[in-house]
Amino acid sequence: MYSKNKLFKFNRLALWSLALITAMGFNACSEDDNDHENDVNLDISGAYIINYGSYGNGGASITRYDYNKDSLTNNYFESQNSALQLNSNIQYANIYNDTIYLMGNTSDEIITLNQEFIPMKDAVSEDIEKPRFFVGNQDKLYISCWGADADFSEMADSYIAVYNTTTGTVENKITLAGGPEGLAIANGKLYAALNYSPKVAVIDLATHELSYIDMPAVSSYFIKDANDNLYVSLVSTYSDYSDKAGLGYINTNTDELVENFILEGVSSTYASIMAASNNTETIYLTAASWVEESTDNWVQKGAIYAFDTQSKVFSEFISNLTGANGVSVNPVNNDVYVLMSASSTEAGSVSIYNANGEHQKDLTVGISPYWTLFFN
Amino acid sequence: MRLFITIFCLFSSAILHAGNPYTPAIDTIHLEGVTLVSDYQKFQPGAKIDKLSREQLQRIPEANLDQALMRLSPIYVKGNAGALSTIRFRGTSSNHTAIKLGGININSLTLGHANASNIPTYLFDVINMQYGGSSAINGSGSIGGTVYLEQDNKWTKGQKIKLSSSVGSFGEQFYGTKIYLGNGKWETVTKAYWFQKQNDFYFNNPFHASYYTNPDPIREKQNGAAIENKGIMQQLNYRFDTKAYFKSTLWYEDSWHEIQPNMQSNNQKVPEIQNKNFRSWAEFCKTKSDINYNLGVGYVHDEQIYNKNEDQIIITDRIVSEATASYKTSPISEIKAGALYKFIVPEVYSYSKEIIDYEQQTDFYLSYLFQPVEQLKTTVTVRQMLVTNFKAPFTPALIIKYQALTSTIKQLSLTGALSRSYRIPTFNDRYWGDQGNPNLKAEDGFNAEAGITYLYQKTQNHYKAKVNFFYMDVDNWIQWSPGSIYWEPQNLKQVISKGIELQFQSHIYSGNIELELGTNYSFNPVNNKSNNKQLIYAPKHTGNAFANLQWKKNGVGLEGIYTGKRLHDEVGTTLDQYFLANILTWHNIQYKQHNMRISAQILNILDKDYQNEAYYAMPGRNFKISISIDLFNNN
Repeated sequence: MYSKNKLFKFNRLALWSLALITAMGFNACSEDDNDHENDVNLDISGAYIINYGSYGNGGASITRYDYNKDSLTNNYFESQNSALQLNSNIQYANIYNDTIYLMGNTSDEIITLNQEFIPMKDAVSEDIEKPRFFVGNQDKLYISCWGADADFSEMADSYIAVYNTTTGTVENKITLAGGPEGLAIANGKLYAALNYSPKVAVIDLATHELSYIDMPAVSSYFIKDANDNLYVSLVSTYSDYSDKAGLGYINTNTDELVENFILEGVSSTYASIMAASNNTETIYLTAASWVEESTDNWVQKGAIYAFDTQSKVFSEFISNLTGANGVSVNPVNNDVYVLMSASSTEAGSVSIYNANGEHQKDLTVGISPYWTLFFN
Repeated sequence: MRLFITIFCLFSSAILHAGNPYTPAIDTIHLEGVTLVSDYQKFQPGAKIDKLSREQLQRIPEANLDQALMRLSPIYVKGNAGALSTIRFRGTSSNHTAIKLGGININSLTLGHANASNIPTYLFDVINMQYGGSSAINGSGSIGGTVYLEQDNKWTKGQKIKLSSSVGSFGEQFYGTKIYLGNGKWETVTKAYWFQKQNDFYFNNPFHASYYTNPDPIREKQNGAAIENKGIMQQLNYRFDTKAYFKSTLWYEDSWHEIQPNMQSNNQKVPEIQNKNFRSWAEFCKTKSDINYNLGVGYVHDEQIYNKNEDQIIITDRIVSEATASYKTSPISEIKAGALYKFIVPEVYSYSKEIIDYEQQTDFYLSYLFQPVEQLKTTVTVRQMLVTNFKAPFTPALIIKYQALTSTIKQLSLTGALSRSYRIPTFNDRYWGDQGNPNLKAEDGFNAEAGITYLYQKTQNHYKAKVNFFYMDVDNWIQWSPGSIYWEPQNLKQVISKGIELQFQSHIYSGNIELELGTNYSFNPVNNKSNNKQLIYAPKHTGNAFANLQWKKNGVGLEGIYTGKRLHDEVGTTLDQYFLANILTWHNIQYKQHNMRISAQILNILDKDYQNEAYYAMPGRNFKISISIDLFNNN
């Protein structure tokens, strides 16, 4: 066991290996996996599952799964904070500069936690309206927001909030219609996946100048590869139907969609529908697959597809899932965590598979597991 | 609004037209009350049907249906501080209660339920509540229970005008009028009201903005929970003779409310919802020798707009017609046959016209009422619904009532029922975007019930005790849950609801004093078969009690309402039980045949801090003062 001070010393190295799987390319994980044992901070290591709860009805929670000790702690936030509960539904969470930021909905707010999941200050809600996702750059968080009057059609009032982590205030709002969802920073530019317009927005970080890349479908999240280019999930929705859903590939030098790997039924859930292995060789994508339930009776079921970034081919990794919210990858061992919900009021579950698709373990977690943070 | 004004003008002219030829100078006013047992009561002799009487409703003219049920019945109503409330009989869900106005079930065809906060009790004379499944009589949706919105048959002779007004805490205002005109044959009844509530009450907010550094609750004013409802109802009735009449009801309702934010979001901007509903029903009834005919026709327009966004408008239009004929086969037996036809056109932004343009529904039903032995009333009813591209189950029901004691002092009746109930999926369940599931099956319920009622009456006093046991098994319960790509409705649950309901009522007179006492208690475990867990928002224990004391022209009433602990998620998080107490007092002033009633209410007198729906604030102690004036009243 490390002393607390030492623990924090290690955090700077080790916590950078923490990866939120969908988070486009915090190129996670320490390169020297052999030294992993030495880097492990046992006080905080583990997978932290972010459970969204039930919209407007609370229920958000954190589940800690310490895979080193094989121990599971539901309601981890409460246990760390003398029964204090999460006030809002957690749409997204990630760590930036050793601080965990939770994007809360109803109440719309940014919750700031230290690595032990203890609040560092009051939540910030001013100029934060329906926050969706964030990325960090220097002392700024860029937060996609749907705006107070989301119409779920044009999303004319949506924007990117520029949050100063030093002052704890939103210092700028970049107007961006179309419902920005996932964000990524690549080649010095901010990319926003628009979920209500078939475009990806490109924002110059210095000038906030805006340009667009046309897409064959609306998009949701990014994964950044080693070349600073972006994979983007393309989805078909009722309001924006497309038969070109799948996985797009954006060259961030030319800001063009250079390839689109079509996959039917990519999940439109606002959760970790996409995750990469620690070397970005495999991208896991949540989608639907056809399953023969009985003779000649084919039904759509949830599935996780593995996309080989070398061969550019999808293969079915896990199928016949019900209620798959998303997928995460443990950057330490490339275990694949499949996050599932039965409903908006029941406990969710996480099934863990190794990289070969062999089932390892099932966990019962909180309501609607959406994302996973890995601390090593 | 334009429609509202147009309808108001139309009806006003109808009143003048109807009233003038027959009552140029009315100096004799006579209102004839006719007490009829509705067909649904006659053909369900052993069903448990409770009544909110005219007297009870008059005491709370401003109350919407949710408030009336919460205060005066043991039925659990899930809701927040007035924006959205749904009725849940015997542990069932919001979609399992039919709300009937004549031959129309006013529930939304897209959502499957009506917002009980948008149904003003002021427009109705009596509200009956039937517990348990009654699909054989009422069709799809009557799985948990049925609410009947009813009008008295007055056949007014002369004029009567009622004016009511109420002001209360948190910016509540209510103004209503009822105008009766008639000559004993023609009758026109116009009812209109306007209700507004700012709903800016103070509450203790444990989830305030500084929660993470100071978790102690702070006092906050509720934001974004305002309500404004207005409505007009016109009845036009004509009695050909004692055996034939025509009755019609036209009702336009315009309901607007902000969507109350949860306590966590109390300082944030809220969206709003506007509903415009036009409901109409007209029927002709004739009795000739032993045959009774009834022909009814109605039209319903439901419209909902979310946050003034015209692109996301939700409209359904339906034409409903019903024909029944009953024949007395003997003095103690009667057979009734009927058919109900609905033509429905949805116009919902997320439905594809290629998939759903319109839908037709037809029900055929047959009831037989007979007495196999003396004092045993029995009905057998069967019903089959036919729906475009959907299969509804065949629905039989057997209901009995045995009068074991029939003296004028003591009466004892034993009741029992076995019935099947069902609900076809809502339009949203079947057609919503890519998520609607056309492969859903109808929810399928089985209802068994037994009851004992004992009545003791001596002189004017009476005491009534009732015990009911029930068992309900609902399969193919529809629930929206994550599917392969989207959230989608699925036939997931199998639910068993069972329990016991106890009731006691008494009316005691002594000199100038009249005392009315009542209490209800319900014990209702309701479980999902797969995990044996109590369903969410289904309290095992609910109860209420009331006492009204009338002395000469003054009265005072006390109400107590108990709602037991309930789960609000399936992880096991519960909402605390709560007890609310209300007090009301009134004074009547009589001048000739006119009457004025002044009343005051203190609600939640114990200032209980509670939540009905998780995370939504409810008002503490609050006050109301009402005045009602009845002119030309010679009842």
